[in-house]
Amino acid sequence: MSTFGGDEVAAIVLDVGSCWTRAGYAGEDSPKTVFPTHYGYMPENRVMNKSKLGASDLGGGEGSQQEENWSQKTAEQYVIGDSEISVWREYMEIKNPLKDGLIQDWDALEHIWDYALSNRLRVNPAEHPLLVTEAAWSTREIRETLTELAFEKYDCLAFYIVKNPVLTAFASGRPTAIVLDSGAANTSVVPVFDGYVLKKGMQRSPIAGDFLSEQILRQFEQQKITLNPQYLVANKSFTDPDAPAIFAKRDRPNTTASFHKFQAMKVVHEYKETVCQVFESTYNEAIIASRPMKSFEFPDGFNTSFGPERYRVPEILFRPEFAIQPQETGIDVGSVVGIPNMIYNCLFTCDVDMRANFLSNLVCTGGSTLFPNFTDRVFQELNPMFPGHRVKIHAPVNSVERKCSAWLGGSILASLGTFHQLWISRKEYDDHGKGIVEKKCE
Amino acid sequence: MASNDVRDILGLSGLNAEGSVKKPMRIEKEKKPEGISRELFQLIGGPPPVAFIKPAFKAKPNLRKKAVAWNYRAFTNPARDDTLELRHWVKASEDENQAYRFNEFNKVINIIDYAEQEYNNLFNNETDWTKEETDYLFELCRKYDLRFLVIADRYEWPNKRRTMEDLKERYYYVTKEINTSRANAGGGSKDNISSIYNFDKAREIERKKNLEYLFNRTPEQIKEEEVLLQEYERIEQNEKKFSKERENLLKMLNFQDINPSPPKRKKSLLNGGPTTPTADTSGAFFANSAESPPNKKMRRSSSSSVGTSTMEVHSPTDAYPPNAPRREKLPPGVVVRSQKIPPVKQSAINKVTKYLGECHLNTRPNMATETVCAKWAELQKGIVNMLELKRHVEKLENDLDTKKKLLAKAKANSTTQKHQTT
Repeated sequence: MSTFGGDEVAAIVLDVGSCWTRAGYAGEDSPKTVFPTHYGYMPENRVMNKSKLGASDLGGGEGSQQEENWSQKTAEQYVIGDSEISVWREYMEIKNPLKDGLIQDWDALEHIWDYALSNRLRVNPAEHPLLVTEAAWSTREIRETLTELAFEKYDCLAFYIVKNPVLTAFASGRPTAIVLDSGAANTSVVPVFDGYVLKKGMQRSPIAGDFLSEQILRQFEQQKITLNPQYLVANKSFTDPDAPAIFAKRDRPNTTASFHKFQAMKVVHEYKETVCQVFESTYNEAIIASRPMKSFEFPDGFNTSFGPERYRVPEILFRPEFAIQPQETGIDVGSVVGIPNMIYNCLFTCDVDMRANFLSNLVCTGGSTLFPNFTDRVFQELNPMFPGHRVKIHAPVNSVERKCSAWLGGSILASLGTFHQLWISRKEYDDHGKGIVEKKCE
Repeated sequence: MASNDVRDILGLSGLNAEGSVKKPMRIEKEKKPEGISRELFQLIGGPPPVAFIKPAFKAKPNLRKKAVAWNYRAFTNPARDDTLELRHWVKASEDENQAYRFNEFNKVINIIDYAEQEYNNLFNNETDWTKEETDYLFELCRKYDLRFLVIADRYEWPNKRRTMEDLKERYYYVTKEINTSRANAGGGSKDNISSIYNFDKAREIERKKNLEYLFNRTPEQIKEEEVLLQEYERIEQNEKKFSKERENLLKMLNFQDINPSPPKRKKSLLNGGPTTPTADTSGAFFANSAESPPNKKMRRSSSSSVGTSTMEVHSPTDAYPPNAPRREKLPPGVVVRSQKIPPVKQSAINKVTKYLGECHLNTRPNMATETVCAKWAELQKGIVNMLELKRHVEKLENDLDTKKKLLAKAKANSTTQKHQTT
């Protein structure tokens, strides 16, 4: 064990991302629990109603019995967990505590932490050091509030915050790298040098998984496909391709728009994961038209084949002008650049000494990089941009590793013997206050 | 014994007389002596490589042995300022008071500290850098262990924009000045000071500029560079070849100068005219052999002597190949005459054989009489010469072609220019 420089202190690693939250013990190779960061919110006057509906599978039963300063009532307002939020409930809103990778809704975040630590990991935070991840562009206020939360509410043994790209770089075994992270809310290109994020070279664009999903919804609209999410389908029957769906609709009164959207997005995600594909070289409509179509069956039984459009949406990552206009997200597509240009811009803000090194250490991570041919395409685009340089892209083949690379890096980092001198301890927090986080976590 | 019968019918002889399958021979495994690595042992003998050893199951775990006891112990890390107690599992046999193992990796870079007084004495009349800013820089240097890339990234001082070179220059300048003054004051060793890094900002900027230029080369430039490099390599290789050839030539000339052999003189007498050096030696051989002692002659067939006599009859140039084998090359003992035909040089062998094939000839004469051999050698030489000339002609023709093309192009250009001017 000592040969790897590891020293397990039973640290907990918590990675709250825009789409998924991962939590687990440091030193393990995958998180113990992964659940959506999205949470269900019951309006105050409906809480009783909901409990009457008999949602005993809420999983909060045990947690609520524990002595907590958290009032029973608010605890019931929050519905967290993969299966929990997928259950239809009247008036339940689906929300996300993060915006652009930054925490906006602190109450919800507390519930997510609660859920992860008490319900899923079932640990007492006071016995464990806690390592949390954050976006590279996180602000001082967020870091300080996180520290406060960790020590004041959870009374953690020790605490530390690390930036996602740093952890991704560690997970791929290199302290210096350019990390291309295309997740749900953001696509970012961040240079990491010796475990430090170089803030001035950071590039960020809102064109990522969520944006693509919105585009796919618009594409369905254009193709006159009505999306009936699973929760509306009572039963369906087999139909021929392109024939109208034959299905019995469930009666779901008082469904909130956000719940419907969340459910629709689930279908879109499945479509994105099974049908969409990145074209491996420069986008060529003629070649793409000659490729075989791929069929997809919607939850209501309607099935059809998709041809060129399955290439068109992921292409937005590389060429934002491919976006269907107008879109609701309010993102000005003209002002953002594609991934290859982001990498190019990032490199040119870095010191010239480091560029060759960065070019051969390009790490891809995040769910949106899992489109087939994604890394090939990035390589194809980058290679002519930097003639005479070796471009090397590192992307884990394992999709779990690609989705949880930040957590994995945290797991590695928090189980290193040399890391334990960096934790913020309770004493340091008491002595210096929450400002200590700016000093210690870089 | 049904299986035995089947075996009998099929003609298999897997069973021996007793009817039991022979046990495969057990491979005697030599034990690896202590202190020799596995790879080495395999090289010096011993058992065959792993691949040939029959795969065996993993050794059974020794369950009878008592498990090693591990304790969940709290520990403090001396690298920390506080007394944070974390807990980890350690072997119970390990010493409880042992210092934390990873403490030794906590390396701290020694960055000099200066007092206010010291600073004011040394750098009191500077305009660009204030003491506060210098303090800030040194704090960052300590925080990021002199990683200037990170320091430059995080550097934020009101109303100042500092490049990495500015920061490096300042840091090394201050460190150097303080160290020098301390050494002077304390009479300390001067070696320390001389070894201090002297940062040359202008040069560093120049270096980065060049590096930037190198990075921003276009593909065409890179290609051009590659082509130039190849050209250079070619020239260098040619140079080598030329010098080698020249050396050979010089050697040959030297050899000629050193051995003004008596046969040469005799030969020239025999021929009565100037000949090429190769012809010289060949002639010399025959002149020599003609008058060589009889014991040597007797070893050869009598026809050989006849041959020499015929040679004397014919005119010397066409009588025998000019580059006939030299004396020392003759193998001892009985020899087939066709062996005496001078070999074609290695590089032309294939072409000559091919050409001979085209003429429906073998590589050796069918009837190797003296005359035939002589003619054969002549033929061979003729072929070599012809091939050589052919090659030369081809080359010249090619040259002519390209020149013509160039000329045509030039002409076309001039005409178009004329058109344009008119």
